[in-house]
Amino acid sequence: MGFEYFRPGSVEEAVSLLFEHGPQMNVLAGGTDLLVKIKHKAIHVSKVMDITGIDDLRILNEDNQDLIIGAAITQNEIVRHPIVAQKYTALKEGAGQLGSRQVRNLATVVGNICNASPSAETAPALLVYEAKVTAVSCRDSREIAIKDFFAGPGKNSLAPGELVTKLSLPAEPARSGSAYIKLSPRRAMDTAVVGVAAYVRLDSAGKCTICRIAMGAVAPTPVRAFQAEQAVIGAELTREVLAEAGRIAAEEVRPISDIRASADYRRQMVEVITRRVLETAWRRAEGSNK
Amino acid sequence: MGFSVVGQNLPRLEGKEKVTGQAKYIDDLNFPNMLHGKLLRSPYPHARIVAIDTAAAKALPGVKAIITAEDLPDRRHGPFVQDTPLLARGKVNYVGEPVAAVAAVSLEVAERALSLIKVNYERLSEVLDPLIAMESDAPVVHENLDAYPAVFPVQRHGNICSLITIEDGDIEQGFKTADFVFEDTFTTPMAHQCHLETNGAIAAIDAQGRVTVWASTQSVHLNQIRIAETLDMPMSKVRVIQTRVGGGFGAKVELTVQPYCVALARLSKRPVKIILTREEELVATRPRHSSIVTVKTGVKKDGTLVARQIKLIYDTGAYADDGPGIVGFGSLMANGPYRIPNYKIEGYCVYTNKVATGAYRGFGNPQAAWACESQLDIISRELGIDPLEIRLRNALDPGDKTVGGQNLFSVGIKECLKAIKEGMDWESPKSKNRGRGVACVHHLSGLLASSAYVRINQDGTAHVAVGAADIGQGSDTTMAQIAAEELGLSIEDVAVVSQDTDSTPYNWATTATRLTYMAGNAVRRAAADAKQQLINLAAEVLGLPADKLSARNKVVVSVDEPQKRISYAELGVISHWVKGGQIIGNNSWMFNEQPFSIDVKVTGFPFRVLGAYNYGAHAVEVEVDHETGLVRVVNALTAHDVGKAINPLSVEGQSQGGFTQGVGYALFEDLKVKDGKIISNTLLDYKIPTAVDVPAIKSLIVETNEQTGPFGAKGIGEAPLVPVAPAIANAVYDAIGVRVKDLPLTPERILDALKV
Repeated sequence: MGFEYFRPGSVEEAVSLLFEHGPQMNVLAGGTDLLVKIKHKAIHVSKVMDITGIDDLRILNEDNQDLIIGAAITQNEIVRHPIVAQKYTALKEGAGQLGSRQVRNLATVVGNICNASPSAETAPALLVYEAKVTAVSCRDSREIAIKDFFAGPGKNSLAPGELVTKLSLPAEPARSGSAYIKLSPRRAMDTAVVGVAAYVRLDSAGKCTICRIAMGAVAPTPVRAFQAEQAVIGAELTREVLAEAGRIAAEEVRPISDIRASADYRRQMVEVITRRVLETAWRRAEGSNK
Repeated sequence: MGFSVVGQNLPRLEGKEKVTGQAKYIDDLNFPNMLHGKLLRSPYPHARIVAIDTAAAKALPGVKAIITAEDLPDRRHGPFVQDTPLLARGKVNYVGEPVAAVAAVSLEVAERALSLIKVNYERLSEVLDPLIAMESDAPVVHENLDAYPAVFPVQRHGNICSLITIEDGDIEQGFKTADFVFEDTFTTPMAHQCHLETNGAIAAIDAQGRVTVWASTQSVHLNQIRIAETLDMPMSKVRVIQTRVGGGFGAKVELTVQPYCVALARLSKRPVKIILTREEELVATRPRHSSIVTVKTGVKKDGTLVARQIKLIYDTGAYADDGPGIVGFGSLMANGPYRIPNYKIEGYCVYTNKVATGAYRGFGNPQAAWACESQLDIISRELGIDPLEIRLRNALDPGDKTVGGQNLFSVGIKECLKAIKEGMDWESPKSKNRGRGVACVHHLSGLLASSAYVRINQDGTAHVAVGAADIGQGSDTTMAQIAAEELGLSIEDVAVVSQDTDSTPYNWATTATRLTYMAGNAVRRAAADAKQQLINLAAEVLGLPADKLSARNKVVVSVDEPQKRISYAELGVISHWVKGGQIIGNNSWMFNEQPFSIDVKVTGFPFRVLGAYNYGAHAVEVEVDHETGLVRVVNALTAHDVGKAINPLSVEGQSQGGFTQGVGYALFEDLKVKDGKIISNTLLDYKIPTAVDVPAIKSLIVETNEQTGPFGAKGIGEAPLVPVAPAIANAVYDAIGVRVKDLPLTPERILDALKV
């Protein structure tokens, strides 16, 4: 019942292994999703490729002011990174609430999105930053907008033979702020019942010029709340604007009832959490001098 | 009276072994040629077994033994009612019931073999709701109920496994004299013990045909008896050895995998190991009973309780297991630590086609306390009396009689309440969305028999052999402290013998908050016996009368002439080489107070003797998010009357551990059933609290010196879990003014209650 284990030393080697072995090859980064599935016999795995030995995937820095996150970067590396803490607060808050500390020492951000759970903790933040996903194959390399990356519960939009090598998050100008709130009954090691991230950019008068809201665990994939965003753009921060955004977001979602919560509760919580996270992001934008 | 070892905050004897990873748990043991066993389980809640075909599985290379009911003695077992076959016979009664067992050279082969066993089932209509099960036209779980032997005067019919009633005073008259009568119904879900180490055992047969079983267990003795009974073996052919245990909380008292290991080992002539997976634990072991409890209480304007009627319905699932005991115990505890002159308590233990339930810390008390302590809060608020004050007004005093009429000696409930009132600064102002709640508990330390012997070694040190299975709670350390204190030795001079039916004397089990009190009594008496023998020998050697000698600090010394003395080491040499042989003190002990006075009407009660009562009170402060329904416990204070804390550090550990499990019971834990199948089958969906879900817990100890206990001690184990859920719910009411009567207090339930 074992599997064949590969540990390539370069991206080139990795993508040629993917090409050679086809869909039988499973990519392992942190292993916190893959190994659980193997243990629970949810999948049968014959070949595993561990990408943590590839130096090029261990990048975490600012490049032309974009933030680059390599595919082998763990959640705790993100949480501890000073630039993430300063400029990408929603991502820090998402990464910091994934699993337990021990899990965060292994789990990667790229793995979290490739696993494509609707409740993925880092997905809403990456959606509000409009991150780009770089996918490399034997033949070429392409960039996928994060909003197009998720294809369904547990499904991403990678083509056969493609490996995600990195994420790029656009530079953050001054007077912008972001936040992520995860709602779960247990305060650690739990799955989000609802998770919402918000990003706000303000003009010099304090009006919102850009607003992005993204939600987890309320649809088959992590999703943006485009209509709610429209209600905020051009507005000033008021109780009414926040409440309206929450109400619209709740109408936009398609939650399900499952063992963790009912659809009704999830919808109600989207309203509450959207309002709260938007206010936090807004306050951060007002206070930012980046 | 000054103690030298008792009352000390001593670290665990086995602490270093555990924190350095050297402790050997069951899955750390492996033997040459050992096989791995797996159980085939029923996929249906209720079905007739038409045929089982094991031919293909037997033909699989690597499979060494397969057993079904046909290969086992045709008998049923159970601690109270003998209704449970080891492997399903004729029909299955719950999803997860073992139908066949396989031993193979590897786990993978064993699992593959399970998939090759063909069982032909014919579905039967199932009953999953205990209220429906109690109706006369419900599907019947056990057709031959009356044929099952019971160890107590059981009252039963249909799907009612047992009915217990306890009645005293005049209930009608009591309600007539009340100024107000309250009636409320409360429910609780099934909850799992979630001991971090899952159940497991290994069995091996020697050339004499004698079986040795290594097990993660709460009682080697009970395991030995049950294995012998279920597999038709004399107890002399069964030896059970305890490995280190990673928690039990009641789940490891009765047999789990042991008999399958033995049966497979006998058939294959090779050692067999079975370790349950977490999923098997959650779906097919014995969780806490779900319950529906209706309480009607009559009360005077000043808050005095005058009458109470309680109907408890506990869903025992497919088999009785400890159910009748749990319902009996819950019924006995239901009134709480209060004086109530007129009462009638009816406890129903009901069969359904769900997993058989069993013992879990609290043993029926948490369900009853959830109902009664919640209702007392409703009453206090309705009458405008402080919830802590109404408890003080009705709390028992020493010399009072409790439910049933047993005499009480030490009663520290009022001291506990006063301690938390002061410790919590109960009447101080609270911030917005915060509330405080209080709840009380009484619980027994006792039941059944314990024994011990103490031998004095040649160098004057001692070995203590006592049937007291340490399952992580620290009883080895406590037993060593009791023996050392009585013998006049230091803790380093005492060795506690590991649990092994070949060498440790009988003890019923690590249950019922009983080790410190029951096994502790046996140890103290055995040590006193050994000490007296040391004194008698010294009297002969020194030529002084024994009653003029005392033994302490490893020396027997003359009371009048302190220069006349002889050390234990010298006495050890004399006893081993010159006179009398090794000194061995022994004691076997049972509690002997009558449980019921003659004017109390009792039917169907499952225990003959009880024990000493311990008491406790908890206060909590919670913060409730009224938009999301999330509850956070921000402050927790526990106070427990343990008689005397033999090791205060251990008492605090038990208080904090019990409180933490109580937080899970209050806020998260719910073994959810869908179509008869448990769907909360991982620790992601069956949520127990993490460190950040529980505040720093301040644990206060109240000492009342129980005259029947060793050095005044009673016990602590179970009580700290019991009052947590009602204390939290009462605090939620205090914070946001809504009352939830169903556990757990999920965010959705809180929001629903807010909407009403």
